[in-house]
Amino acid sequence: MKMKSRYHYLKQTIRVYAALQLIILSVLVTSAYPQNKFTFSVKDETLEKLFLIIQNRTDYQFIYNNEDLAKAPLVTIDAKDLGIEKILQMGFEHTGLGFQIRDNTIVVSRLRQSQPREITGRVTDNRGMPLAGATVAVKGTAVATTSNDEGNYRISVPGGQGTLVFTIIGYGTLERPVTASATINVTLQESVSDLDEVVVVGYSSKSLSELSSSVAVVDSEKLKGVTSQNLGSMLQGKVPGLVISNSSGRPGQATNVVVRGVGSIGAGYQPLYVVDGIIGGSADPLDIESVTVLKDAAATGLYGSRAANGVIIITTKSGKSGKTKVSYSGTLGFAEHQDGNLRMMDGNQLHAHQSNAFENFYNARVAAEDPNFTGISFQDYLESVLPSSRMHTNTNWQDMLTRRGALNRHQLALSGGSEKTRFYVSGNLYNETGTLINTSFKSAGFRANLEHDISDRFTLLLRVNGTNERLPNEVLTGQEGVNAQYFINMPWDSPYESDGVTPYNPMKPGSEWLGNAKSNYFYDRDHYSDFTRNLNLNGDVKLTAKLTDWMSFSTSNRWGFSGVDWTQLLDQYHVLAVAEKGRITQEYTYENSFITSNLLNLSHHIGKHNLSGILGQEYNYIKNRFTQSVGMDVPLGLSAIGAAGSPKSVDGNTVETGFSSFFGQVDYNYARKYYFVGSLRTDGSSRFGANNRWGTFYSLGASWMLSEESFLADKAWLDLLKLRMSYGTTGNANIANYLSLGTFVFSDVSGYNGNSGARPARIANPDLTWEIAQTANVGLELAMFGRFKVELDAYNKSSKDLLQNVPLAATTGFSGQQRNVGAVRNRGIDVNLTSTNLTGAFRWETAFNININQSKVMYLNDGEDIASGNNMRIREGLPLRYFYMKEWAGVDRETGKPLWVRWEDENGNILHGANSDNPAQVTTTSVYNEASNLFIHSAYPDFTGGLRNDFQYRNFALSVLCTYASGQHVFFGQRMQIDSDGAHPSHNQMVPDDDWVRWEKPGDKATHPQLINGGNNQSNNVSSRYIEDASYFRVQNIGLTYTVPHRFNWLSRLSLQASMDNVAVFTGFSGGDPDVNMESPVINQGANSARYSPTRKLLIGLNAEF
Amino acid sequence: MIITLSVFANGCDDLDYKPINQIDNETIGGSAELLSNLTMGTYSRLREREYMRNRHVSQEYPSDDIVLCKTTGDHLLYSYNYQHLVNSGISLNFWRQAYYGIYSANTVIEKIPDDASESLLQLKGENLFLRALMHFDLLRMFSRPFNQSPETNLGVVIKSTTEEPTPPSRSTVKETYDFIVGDLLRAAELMHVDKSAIFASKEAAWALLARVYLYMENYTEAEIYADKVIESGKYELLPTDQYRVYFTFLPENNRETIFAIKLREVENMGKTSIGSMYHGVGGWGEIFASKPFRDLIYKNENDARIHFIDPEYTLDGNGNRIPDPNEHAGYKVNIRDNQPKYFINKYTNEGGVQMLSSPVVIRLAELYLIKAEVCAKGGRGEEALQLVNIIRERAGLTGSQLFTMDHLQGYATVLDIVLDERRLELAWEGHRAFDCFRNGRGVDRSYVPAFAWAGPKRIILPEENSIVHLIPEEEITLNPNLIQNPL
Repeated sequence: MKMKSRYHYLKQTIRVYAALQLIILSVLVTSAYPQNKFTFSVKDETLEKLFLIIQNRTDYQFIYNNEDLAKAPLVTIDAKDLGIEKILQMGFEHTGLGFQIRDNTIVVSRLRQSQPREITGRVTDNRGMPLAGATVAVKGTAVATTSNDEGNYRISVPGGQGTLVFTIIGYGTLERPVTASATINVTLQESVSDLDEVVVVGYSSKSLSELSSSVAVVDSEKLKGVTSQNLGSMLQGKVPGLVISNSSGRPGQATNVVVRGVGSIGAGYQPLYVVDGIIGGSADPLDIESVTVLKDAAATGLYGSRAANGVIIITTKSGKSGKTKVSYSGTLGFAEHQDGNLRMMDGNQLHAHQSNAFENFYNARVAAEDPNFTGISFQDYLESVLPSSRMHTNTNWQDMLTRRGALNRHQLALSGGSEKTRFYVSGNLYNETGTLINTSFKSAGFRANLEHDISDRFTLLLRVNGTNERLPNEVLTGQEGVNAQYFINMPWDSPYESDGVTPYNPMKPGSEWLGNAKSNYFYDRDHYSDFTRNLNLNGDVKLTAKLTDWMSFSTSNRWGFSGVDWTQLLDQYHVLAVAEKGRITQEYTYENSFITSNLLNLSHHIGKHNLSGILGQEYNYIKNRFTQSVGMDVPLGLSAIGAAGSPKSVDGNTVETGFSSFFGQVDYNYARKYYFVGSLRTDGSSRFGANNRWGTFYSLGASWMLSEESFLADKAWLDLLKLRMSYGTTGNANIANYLSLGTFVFSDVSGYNGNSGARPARIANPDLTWEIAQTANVGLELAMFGRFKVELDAYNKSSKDLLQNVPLAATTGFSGQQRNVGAVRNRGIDVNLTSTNLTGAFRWETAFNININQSKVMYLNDGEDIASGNNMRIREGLPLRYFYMKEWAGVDRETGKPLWVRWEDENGNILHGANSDNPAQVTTTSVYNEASNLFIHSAYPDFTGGLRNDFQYRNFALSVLCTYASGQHVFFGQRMQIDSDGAHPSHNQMVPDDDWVRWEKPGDKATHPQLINGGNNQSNNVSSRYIEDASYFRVQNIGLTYTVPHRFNWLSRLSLQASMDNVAVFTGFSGGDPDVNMESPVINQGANSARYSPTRKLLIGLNAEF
Repeated sequence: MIITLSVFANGCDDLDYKPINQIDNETIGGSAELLSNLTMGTYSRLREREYMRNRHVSQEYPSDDIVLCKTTGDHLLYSYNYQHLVNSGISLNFWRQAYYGIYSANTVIEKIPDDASESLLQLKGENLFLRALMHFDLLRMFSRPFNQSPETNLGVVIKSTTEEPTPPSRSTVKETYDFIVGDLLRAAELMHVDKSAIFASKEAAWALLARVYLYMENYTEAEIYADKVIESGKYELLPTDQYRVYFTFLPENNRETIFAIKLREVENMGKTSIGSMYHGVGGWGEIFASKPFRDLIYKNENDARIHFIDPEYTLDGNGNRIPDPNEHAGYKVNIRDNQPKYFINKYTNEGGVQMLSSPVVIRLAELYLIKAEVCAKGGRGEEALQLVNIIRERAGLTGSQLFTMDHLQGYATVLDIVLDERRLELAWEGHRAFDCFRNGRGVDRSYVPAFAWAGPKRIILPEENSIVHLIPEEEITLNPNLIQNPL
């Protein structure tokens, strides 16, 4: 629009408006208005028309900018006897324009509504510590800022009036009106119920209140405490329904993580890990921002294909725009070896024990009139079989093979960025030496997360993560392994020759080694080296495009590489390589994987209807390749495989896997009261048979936010009341590749005399398909008084078409076949309670969780049991892991012999629990072979959970985490050797528990049969004698943190910690730590399964942010 | 949306990956080379530790030629002390490996028609031989001797096909023996290729037939097949000086060996090998030559077979042996748990490599002794002694150390002489206990130190339940049609 020619002369003035505005406005406020009155009315006219009318009827002239007027709405005025000023005020309402009357000239200008005001202040927590990153917003406007690292903020309040709203995750929201003061300092209270915390679920993020599913979030703060490189150890006790077991003292050892009970027999039970929105990947625990555990189908639904065991979503840290933040975290400490209640005998104890065993044996032989015994006194006999000279050596193998472990961990991280680019870069070092000699774990890693806004519409995300780990292996395993030597080596054997320095070789000619394993770590260690190095490298590229304001597209792609390098060198003196004059083994495994995940995100609001959805496609390809070469005849001191004089063997293979998926999800809510979610996913996997490669999975969920309803909205004490329910199916493809194919396999063992050979590998099963879990969940969430929160979930997870290797009779030619048979149901309750017991200067919070889960096998192939190892049996109607063996019936009071239960039919024939549950007669026998195999007990705990208390006073914070499990049972098989009633005279024996009673004479009521050299009627064979209740209550971690008061500008945060892991375990279990893998609750003497109990760690740490 | 998805799905179904180390069932029958690979796979089962070592444990440890110096957690203890366990790992793992091997053999046998080429028929014959051997090993482990009601006593499950529509039952002892004989006869017919002793051959089938017929007490046929092997000219008894180190020769270079299970140096099983229990250099060294056996063999100090015993001598400060006239070896021998360490070296030092051994399944000397036993039982004493003398002369014995009808050296019968000669010649090769039982004789274990609750079993009689192993309980669970041996 052109400027009217008659006002042309004022063009220059208009140009300088902007600069002069402040002055003009101040004049405007102070100027006096003419008192002339007018009466007129206009309807839906432009301002320009209004000005014309006024100019025509008065002396006033208008000066204005055409552009300003063009944007102004039409005006309607009905004026009666009003001054020009009033009339203009009516006309200028809602136009965004202002005016100034100077004599007869009215200057029209674009109006700032009012003068903005600058407000500054500081946001702190109740300890007075600055809160960085708190959002400070002017209520009802888009104006907002965040507090900086010192907690300071500066905000310009438009119009100089309004209310500031302070929010930050983990703290209660606070509102403060803007007053005359230019400074507003606030203290935010930590809140228990982060009702609107945004969590990452599936392929999207949602606020907690929007969820219709059962999820649990553990943020980086709550993750802290237990010091480990293993996420499982750090999650233990913090999430209801997440049972974490088999934590070990061995550095670098993984734990078992089970979400809501095991539903699969043969296809694994570990949940699916998703790192930064993409299936798979890895992250250093210190780089983790939050962990979300998805438990029910509504949550896991979108991961349908592989989510049957639950999903654990890991989100790594990212940078924020602003000042670059440098943070350092360091932990140092040491570890003490732990053996729970287990003590081994020393030389004197063992001598007394064996003397007793020999005496009973001698007496029995004399009673049998054995001429070899009747002619010799017991003392002479004892001297011949147990020379007193043995007592000259009293080696404490437990002391020798353990040491004080050490741990140190460092992380340096940089984060920050500009408005368009944000970054987070970190480097980690972790180094732990185990308490058992020769165990250690080293890891180094880095991460770089980079986010760049290409434009308003496009965002690019790059993430690179690499780790390198190194851990030693034991060459000798089983009873020869170090961990087994620890228990079974004889105190009468010395690790050194009589010179006290030269290691003793138990395998040397003429060796007088007494111990059964003939293994001496102190000899072996000079003759081998054996290490595994794991390398992991992941690169993510994610591009997000905002197509419209209701639709966006993203493509996430990850290229992953993981390599395992195993090198073992045995010199020519090592017991395993003497014949080969030294042996070197090198094995390289590398896995290449690619996954692409492409999503269309939709979101739309129509009134109170909120609709959003996802449409996605995914493809995942994994290629695993390994080569192994072994060389013999290795010159001393050399360690290159090329230096080996001759090759021994080569091995290698490549295996490929593919997954292809398509999925969609719809979320709908009405007025943020009623929520619905539905998802559908179809997946194909190369692991399944050609006939049944694809599976379709779905989920449905709904939730009702009762607290938003009008009848509850006025209940001030009620923060949240939500009811939610969901149902859905998920799949499991966690089996080896190619199991559907009937083939013959060529391998290094199937050849003969150097000719390549093939063995029948398996029977074809083209129908092999997905294992499916159907999960129903009902949940209730209640938050009150801003202090208490209760989450209650009841679930029923039925897994069917179980993938399992069905054992076959050997006469079929195969040990088993992979089939889809059977169904297992897990149902249970998760309860999570959090409470802020005390607020104020002394603050006390409690979090308690419990999971009660019941496992039941609903259906098996034609009702046939599945033998599961020697000790367990899977049967319809029973929990999945159930002990099946001879049932111990105690000790015969008259003879001191062992007794087992025997079931008989009416003809006196033996019956076993597998064939009958209806014996005509139940009796006992002292003959092992004549005892029945019976169903004994479930291995699973009745309930598990955790209890956490946090205390805070001024700058001190104390947290105490406890975990517990009740009713779990463990087969302590190692007792077969170390509590053997004399059957294992060349294994050291355990010191009996206080409440064990040894049979001595007729009439004794004993727990243990008569001690007799060579054993007492197979008393130490597999039976329920060695099944023990392994319930426990553990003080898992006590941590004390002191936050140094804010003093220096260059230092934004400094805190010091002292903590102790594995403080105390209360249990009746006799064998070391009771926290055993419940999927294989058997402790044998093998080096890898004999209990290397979790250690007690004492640590100090420092966290600093600059 | 669904339509889009399904279009996508069909386009992206790139999920058909095939293993690169496996061949499917259709392809494998298609070429002679692949059938040969499959045959190697059948042989490889023999070499499995769980087959080879457990076979040895079950056959040799019940004998009176060894003594175990200490107790052990290994279930081999129960094969040794006749306290068989229903869940013994020895019998379970052997049972399984044997049937996997038999299945493997059946896949080849079924794929080769009777009008196939000579090389294919040879493969078929080799698999028939292996199938027979595996059934025979099973029979020896789990079933009673043929001369004890063979028509009612249970043998093992006969597997003549890869099919298994219903859970099979055990056949009788006689049926199983007949099946083995049938396979061996057919195998001998089919095999015409001259292969070394680490592969099956016509002669190996004959040799095994001779042994099987002897066990069946079909002496006519036993002699016929023994003669066929002896007269084939393919084998010869090694001369005495080589005989002393018989087991250090590679089996394919040993002119006396008819069939052996080949282990290459790279397949050396070290501490887990058969030899490990027998020798302390490179092994556990916990089983020694028994006193009764030493009493027998040290009668003739020039008997070359003494070299299969390798005592661990006690040395003085200068590294010299210490003379001890009370010791069989003439010198002090180290003692472990009251037992002198007379190591056995039949399972170590093949090709000079510690613990390396390709166990001999059958060798020519046994055929002479089979024939000798047939003669002794058929009243042909003179002939029997001549055959025994062939073996003794090869062992370096001469003059009055040889037998004549007039010079039985204190033995009551020629059969006693033959059986003792078998004991001397075939010691620790898995014959002794079964030789006693099938001849209705007990095994005298009174030399075994008293052991725990059970005490020593002085003499184990052939009628006792404990002379056979128990059917693995886990397999009975999987196939309820299997009937357990009497406990």
